[in-house]
Amino acid sequence: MFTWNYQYISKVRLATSLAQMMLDPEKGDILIRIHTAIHLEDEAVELARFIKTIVPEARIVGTSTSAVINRGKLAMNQCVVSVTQMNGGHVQSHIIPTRNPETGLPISVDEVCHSAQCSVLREDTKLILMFLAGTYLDIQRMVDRSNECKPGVQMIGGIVNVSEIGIQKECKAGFVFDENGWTSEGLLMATLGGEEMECFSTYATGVQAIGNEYEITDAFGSCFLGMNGIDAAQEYSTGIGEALRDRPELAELFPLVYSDMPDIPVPIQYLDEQSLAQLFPEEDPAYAAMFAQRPDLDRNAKKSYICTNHNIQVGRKLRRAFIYDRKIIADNRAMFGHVESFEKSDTIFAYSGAARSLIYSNCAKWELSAYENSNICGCVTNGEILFANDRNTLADCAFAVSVLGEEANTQECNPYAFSHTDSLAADNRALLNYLMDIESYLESSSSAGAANGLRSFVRDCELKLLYSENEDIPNEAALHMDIKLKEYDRICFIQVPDTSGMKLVFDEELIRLTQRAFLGKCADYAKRHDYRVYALEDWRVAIGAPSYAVSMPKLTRDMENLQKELFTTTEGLIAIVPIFCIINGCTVENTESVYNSARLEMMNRNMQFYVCDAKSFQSDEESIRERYHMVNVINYAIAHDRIIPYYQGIRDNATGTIHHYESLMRLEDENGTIYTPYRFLDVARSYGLLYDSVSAIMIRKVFERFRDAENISVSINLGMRDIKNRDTMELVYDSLTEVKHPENFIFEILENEDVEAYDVLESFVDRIHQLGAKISIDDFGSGYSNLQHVISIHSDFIKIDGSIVRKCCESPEAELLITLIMGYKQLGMQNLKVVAEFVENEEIQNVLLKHGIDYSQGYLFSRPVPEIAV
Amino acid sequence: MANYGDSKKTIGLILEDISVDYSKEIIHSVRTAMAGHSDMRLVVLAGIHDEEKNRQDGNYWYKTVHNSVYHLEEMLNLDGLILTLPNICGVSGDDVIDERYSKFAKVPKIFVSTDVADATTVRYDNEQGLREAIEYLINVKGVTRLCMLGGRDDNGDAQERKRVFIDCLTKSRIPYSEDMYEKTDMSIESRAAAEKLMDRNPDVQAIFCVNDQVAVSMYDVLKERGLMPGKDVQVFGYDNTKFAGTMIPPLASIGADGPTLGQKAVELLLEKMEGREVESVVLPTRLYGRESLEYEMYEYTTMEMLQIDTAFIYRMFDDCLYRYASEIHDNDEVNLRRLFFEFISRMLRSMVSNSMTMEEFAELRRLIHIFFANGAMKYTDPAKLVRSIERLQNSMNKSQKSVNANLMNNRCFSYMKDRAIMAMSEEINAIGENLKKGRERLQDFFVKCMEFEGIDEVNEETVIRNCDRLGLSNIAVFLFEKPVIYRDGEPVEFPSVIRMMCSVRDGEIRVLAPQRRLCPVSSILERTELPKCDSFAVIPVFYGCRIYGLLLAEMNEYTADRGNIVADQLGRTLRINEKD
Repeated sequence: MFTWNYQYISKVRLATSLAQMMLDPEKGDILIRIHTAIHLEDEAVELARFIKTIVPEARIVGTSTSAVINRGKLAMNQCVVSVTQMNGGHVQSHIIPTRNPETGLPISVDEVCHSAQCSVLREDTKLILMFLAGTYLDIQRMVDRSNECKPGVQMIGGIVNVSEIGIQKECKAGFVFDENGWTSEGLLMATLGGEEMECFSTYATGVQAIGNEYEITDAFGSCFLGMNGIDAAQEYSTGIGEALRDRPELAELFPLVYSDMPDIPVPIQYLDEQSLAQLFPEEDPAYAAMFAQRPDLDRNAKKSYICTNHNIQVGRKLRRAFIYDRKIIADNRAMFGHVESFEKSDTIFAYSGAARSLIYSNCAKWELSAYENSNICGCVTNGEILFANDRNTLADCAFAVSVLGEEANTQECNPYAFSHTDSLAADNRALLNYLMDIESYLESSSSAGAANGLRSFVRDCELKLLYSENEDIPNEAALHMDIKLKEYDRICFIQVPDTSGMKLVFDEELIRLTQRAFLGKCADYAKRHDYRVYALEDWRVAIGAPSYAVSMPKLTRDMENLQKELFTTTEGLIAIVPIFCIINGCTVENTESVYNSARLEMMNRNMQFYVCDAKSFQSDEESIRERYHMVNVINYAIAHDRIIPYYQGIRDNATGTIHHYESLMRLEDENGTIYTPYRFLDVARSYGLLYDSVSAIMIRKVFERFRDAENISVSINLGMRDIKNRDTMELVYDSLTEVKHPENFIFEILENEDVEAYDVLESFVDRIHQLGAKISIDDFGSGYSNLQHVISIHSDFIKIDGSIVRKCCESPEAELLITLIMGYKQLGMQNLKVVAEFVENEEIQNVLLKHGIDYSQGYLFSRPVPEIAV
Repeated sequence: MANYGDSKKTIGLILEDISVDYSKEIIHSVRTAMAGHSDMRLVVLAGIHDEEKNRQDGNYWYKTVHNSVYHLEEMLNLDGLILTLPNICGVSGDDVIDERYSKFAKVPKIFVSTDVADATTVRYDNEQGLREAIEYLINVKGVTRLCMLGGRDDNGDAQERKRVFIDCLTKSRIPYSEDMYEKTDMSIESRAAAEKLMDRNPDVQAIFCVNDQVAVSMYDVLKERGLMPGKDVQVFGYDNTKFAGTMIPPLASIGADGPTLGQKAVELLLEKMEGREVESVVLPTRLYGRESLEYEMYEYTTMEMLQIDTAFIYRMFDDCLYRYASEIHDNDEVNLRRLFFEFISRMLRSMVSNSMTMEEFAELRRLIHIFFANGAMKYTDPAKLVRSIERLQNSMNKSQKSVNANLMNNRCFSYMKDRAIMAMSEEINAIGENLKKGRERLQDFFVKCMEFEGIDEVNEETVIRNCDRLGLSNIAVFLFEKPVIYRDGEPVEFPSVIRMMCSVRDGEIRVLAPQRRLCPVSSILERTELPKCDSFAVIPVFYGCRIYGLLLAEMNEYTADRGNIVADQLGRTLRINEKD
């Protein structure tokens, strides 16, 4: 046996594909399944006929659907054609009507079974594919009956739906077809069998029964009327809340299950403001007959009802249930295990409940992702027929899979897809919010007696969502809930960093043990000291408390002790170094971003224990505004040529005249306001490209201004970023070769911490000297100046840092520094010229003169101006 | 090189006497109001009130020399001023501004409880709370014989309160006579006045004391005559100081209904410093009932309680811990208000649902423990808390249906009461212990300053090296090059430079190297060597007429109580070791 799955593109392509498959009816029967979300009824039949003309021997069965499953992907608006060639096995198929066209009454289960037995069932049938179109209230009994007729034969299939019309509408609109025609009221059956053939059917639901048992005390057709003697709809909706009225799909989250099959949801439809007459129109002779049997019912009274898709047996027991992510994951893992280990895995059929995507939007996608490379094929249905506990049954919101084959084979599956559960968990928060709403609704509701039992049901549901997978420790969703609802605003995050390296050195078991010990120690410590602990990831834990129960100093002290405890390694385990980050003032909105910022800070400062306040990481509005304003100003200045060089004269103390000018950058905005680098440089630097363009424009302008100057020099400021920037440097070198007097140009460079750049710096200096220009070291004596480097740069000028000059009158130490610099010059660097900036008054100038400073720059002599007479 | 580069703004708080409760209250509320402003620092300049320049007063010289501290007002570069000088009401506002504060014309100022024309002032509404109290006494308690222990004639508030007192009586058709009034100097030593008042009015039913301090003497006199405040005579004071709650029995008092003087003053000053116009403010007041005059500020109605109304629980908290709302709380501390809500709402819920499990009970006990372990008693007095708890307990007992839950709840309540009383006694013990330790430290300081080995002389340096034994854990000592000599009648001139000798940070002393010491007086608050505090008291260090320098001490309760004494001892020790 082998199977090909094709996305239907066109008849021509299909014909080619079918021809390439070299189907051989002599070898065995051929089954062709069509699941279509794009064809109307007649078109679908037409397609079936077309295939029949190409492969006349094939059994063709088809259903409508809302979305197809093809190679592990869920796709809307597609049609999939799946061709299965048996090796000696046989295939039968038949459409059995479920309603007598003459009387309009449903055909009895016995009759349907009889037709099936005659048409499709054989002694060695192993798997029955069964699809129901339309309503057939006896479907549950029909499926049940199959267990007795053909014990052990597995079934898979479902109640079909269609794409255009959503699942809220009645499922009548779905249809089944073959080459002979279609019906919207009938059962499509196909059987596969043969000596060699084996098959295995399994399912995943994610449902867990929670809460008390109800006995069905009254029912009408598919409608629940009474549970434990109470109005069923009333009872059901109190647990789920008022929201059910607006979001009827919530019924899928809280399904009911039959007590004997606690993980198989019964489809529930919640209908508000309806009468029985509306639900079961009497024009339908079948319903008329039902009403005739129940004269006691008020068929016109409007109220809420809950219905299912099959006749309900009074006396069966029901329980409330809940669908949650961890159970979904667990079910799928178990199912995958079976599928993977099945030996004759030639073909995989898969049918998934439409409701699966309603509550957990990513659920179907996620559970299919593991089968992406297999030949899995199927479609979305509105109710599934599946094989559970050795019996076939009708289910809802399930993911049913059958694996079949005739000889040993395997499918390529990808279990790792299951480890990416984030997309599933993402829905948890919304769900939890909803549960919390219900809880508060219950608390405020007046019917306290009834609410008590329900409250514990909701609590149980919450717990399911809140606890992490294998430990009894709450998870991230719980942390978020506690932050939000219980005001847990003091959180300590504990993380063991760089665990990826462990895998290289240690074996998995040891890592697992260490991790468990880590978790255990944290949890134990938290418990002893009345904190809540949360397992976030394998190596990340959070410990929290509300600000009303613990002060920051106490939390900090306790966490320090925990860190010590974690440091003491147990023999035989891997030594770990967890890092701690305590945040005060957590809210749901800020926690993540604050933690990330804090981690960055910790890395930069190499800290293993860090305490911070969420507030301190939120930059104030003012500075954010200022920042954006400056970006605008810079962009405006670049676009509108408003980068203006200002020039400040530097006085030659020997002659009393201006020796050269320092060019200083200014920006002007549209209002004519002038900005100094103090305001924009940091912003420009943080957007590197802005800085580069501003800097280049500045250099170009200064060169333009001084291109032909004869007896006057100018200095230009360059940062390390400029010197490392090839474009900027090309501009500088080119400009220098073009000017008449390159010796008139001085480049002031700022020493910085970037030691690695010294190579670049030195070659820059050499190149500048080669070209005939000069170098000055800016802000000498502050920050990062390193004497050795200063010497190796061979600069022509050094400029003493303004903070030293400014203080030289009042502080003897500052004056000493000036003496030191001048002494260095006198010791053999006579060519070195010393400039002092920030010369603000005569007093300072006198001190400078006393020490023989060559040049003075400052307000005492001149202010920076945009225009100078040269 | 000393680094003077900090950009903090300095607010000066000028008041009369640092150690009286009224001042402590102002200092405390100014400090709490400034807690959120990390770019501000507070410096408290406290003199000592010298009434009418009375040279016959034995302490006159001491007070006068001490008040030279006010000269710093000019020397420190203050960015804002809060002044509370009730005694200057005799002087017209213009004079004050012209004479004393001429140099501060441009510095934003707020006057607290001080009548100054054309200035921004913050003061209590003397009428509202007092009327509430007197009307309650007359209309509810049926009191007809009331007296007032009044204040100084030069104190505006005291005069205003007297006027309201008379007005209230007159309106209730109770004739007022001067016999019912006796003035005091508003200090704790007002015994004579209290006795005179009692002599004239032996059958008095209720006494209004112009502030909480004079009530101390009133209590003494009453008790001597076998009269129990609250039982035989209703007594109430003014200002609602912390100290009122600690008297026996606790004293009812009129205080701010909302923000306190200091908080409002800071709020206005900050606005003014940002260049906005501000109006003078009169703060609403109300009566805070305690045992000396039972007065329930809030009703505990059963309906609210049964519905576990959030506002109800918070109001109950504000009633039980009545000082909490008026303080600004450290972001790092336990949020007591929220905690109170947590355990009270759980108790109420257990009452409504008629059940409490052992686990819930244990958790409640834990929360209550946290509540008291984190200083709840700082915000109330035990009698008040116990009574409020009892009222709640009684109401709950009446509405309780389940025997078990009721039992558990009552156990919670009695645990609360135990803790309240325990916490209080612990606190009192701690205060006594601290004082004792402080005294021992100071003695130790003397002894160390006398020690000398061989030929080593005991000098200024010896004293400085032992400054960590002064008993204050965060201080800095500044000394002038030479002591400034105070000469009567001549204005004091402080030199423009001063030496920072040492700093004590969290009890650890750092003596500065001689070359680092010198700095302008104007920048003493900017020295990076100072202890890391946001508020300092500046206390003059002097002996006789010799002013040696300044003691900067972290402004806290202990400094308020002991600062002057410590500074005096330091001055004395410096004098002893001085070489003439």
